[in-house]
Amino acid sequence: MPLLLGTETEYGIAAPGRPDLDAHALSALVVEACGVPATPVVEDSRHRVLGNGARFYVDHGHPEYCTPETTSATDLLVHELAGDRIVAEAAARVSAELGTPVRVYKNNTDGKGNSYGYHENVLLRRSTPWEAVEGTLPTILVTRAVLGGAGRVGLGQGSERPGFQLSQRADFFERVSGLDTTQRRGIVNTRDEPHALPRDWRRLHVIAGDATRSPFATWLAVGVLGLCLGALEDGALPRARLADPVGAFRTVSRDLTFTAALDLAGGGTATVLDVQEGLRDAAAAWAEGEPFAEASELLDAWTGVLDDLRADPTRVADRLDWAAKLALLGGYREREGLGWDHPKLAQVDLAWAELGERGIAERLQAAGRLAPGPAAADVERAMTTPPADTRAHTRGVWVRDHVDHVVAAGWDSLLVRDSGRALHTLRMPDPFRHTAAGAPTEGGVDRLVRSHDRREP
Amino acid sequence: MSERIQRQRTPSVEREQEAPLVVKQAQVDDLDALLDEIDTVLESDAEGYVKGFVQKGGQ
Repeated sequence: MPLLLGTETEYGIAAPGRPDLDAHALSALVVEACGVPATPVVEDSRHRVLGNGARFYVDHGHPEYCTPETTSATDLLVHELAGDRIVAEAAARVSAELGTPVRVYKNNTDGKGNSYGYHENVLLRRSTPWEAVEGTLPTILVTRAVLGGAGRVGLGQGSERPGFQLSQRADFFERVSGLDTTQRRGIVNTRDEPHALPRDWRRLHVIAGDATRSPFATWLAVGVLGLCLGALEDGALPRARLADPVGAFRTVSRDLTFTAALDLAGGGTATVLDVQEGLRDAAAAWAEGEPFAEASELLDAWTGVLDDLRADPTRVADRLDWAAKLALLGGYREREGLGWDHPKLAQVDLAWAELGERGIAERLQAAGRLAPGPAAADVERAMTTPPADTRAHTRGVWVRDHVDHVVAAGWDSLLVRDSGRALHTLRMPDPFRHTAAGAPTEGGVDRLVRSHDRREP
Repeated sequence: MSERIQRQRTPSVEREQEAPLVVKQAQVDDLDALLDEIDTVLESDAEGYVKGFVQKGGQ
């Protein structure tokens, strides 16, 4: 089955010079200031669909950006970075209007007890037994923190104890499985809204990962998740499962030596690297017989990181957020003699996540200390161009080129008017159809409407 | 191709044997310069910057 990926990022937001504006009001201003083609803001709705097939809206007092559906880890990365730029540029526009900085952050906690999400979505076959997902996913997600952790200064939900940990999110999960995303969070989120034909598909909504600023880390974490799920769907993953995923999440996040013994279900222990290597080996064996986008690049990168973590964890500072952040913090600690409770370290942690001209990750890339991301031109193009190989193409083209004819736009359908003002519902229950292949490039809205249900794929 | 790899490898092997400490010092200076650069974008009031960042609500 082909891969289908998308992410949702809730950005932190603050305007210290305007304490009268609450987070919801600020977020609404940022969404209104979106500078790329989009459906208009109407009445009280701050939900916009963009000309690149994405969605941009206010959720729980945060600006939230959902990428369009993509079919590889690199395409996902490019679209996520396009979202970062759209949000950062909108915030800069609001800053200029208000005459005071409005800052947006790509992180997952304020360090004071609040957490907000970075959600990865992966399409699964409906026939995949849910027990298999619920049984294995916690082990995948908990141990993946060594790859995708953004790093965090402070231990405990409210940073009650000083220190450093790998994951922004680990301390905010209280059970193995559950439906809630704002409290009593489960490592496995059971939400089942496929936004596609439910008979065929399930959209796995993964809420336990961190938003990352290193493009390599974003790419690797989502790619490894996709590989593991592909193997899982074919029953090709190892049996080893963590006995206590919730406890292990905190242990893994705090274990900077990668040697802690994690209890396995059914007895015995393993280190986080043992578990990751087991997953990697199984995914590699599975990928030999299955087409999977960028499988060999992902497996090589995954192996490179795991080998470096075995040999000398400081080596991954050129690729992974937590390690790059830890190297900076270590530099300041040594140079200025700072304890983990010094506010400057919490400041660097927060500044790491800040988007825009003060971005630290970009400075590290410029200095050659952090692996570069995709070409800037690719990211810029993705700000206004939908992926060509999913239904996001149809959604994006209608919004970008014919927004006056779009009455409503959702993930799996569009409500549009033709040139005679007649309404048409364009359904897209199959995310892999309604792509750019065979789509009419001229003839206007009437031709688009007529061709919608006819064309294959 | 093999010639180019050869040319790249030889000097690094020599340097390793000659003066590993010099390389390390260069890395330290490099990090120092980067920390200085980051200092220019960090606000002087670290405590205020951190305390002002409160995010109620969220998934």
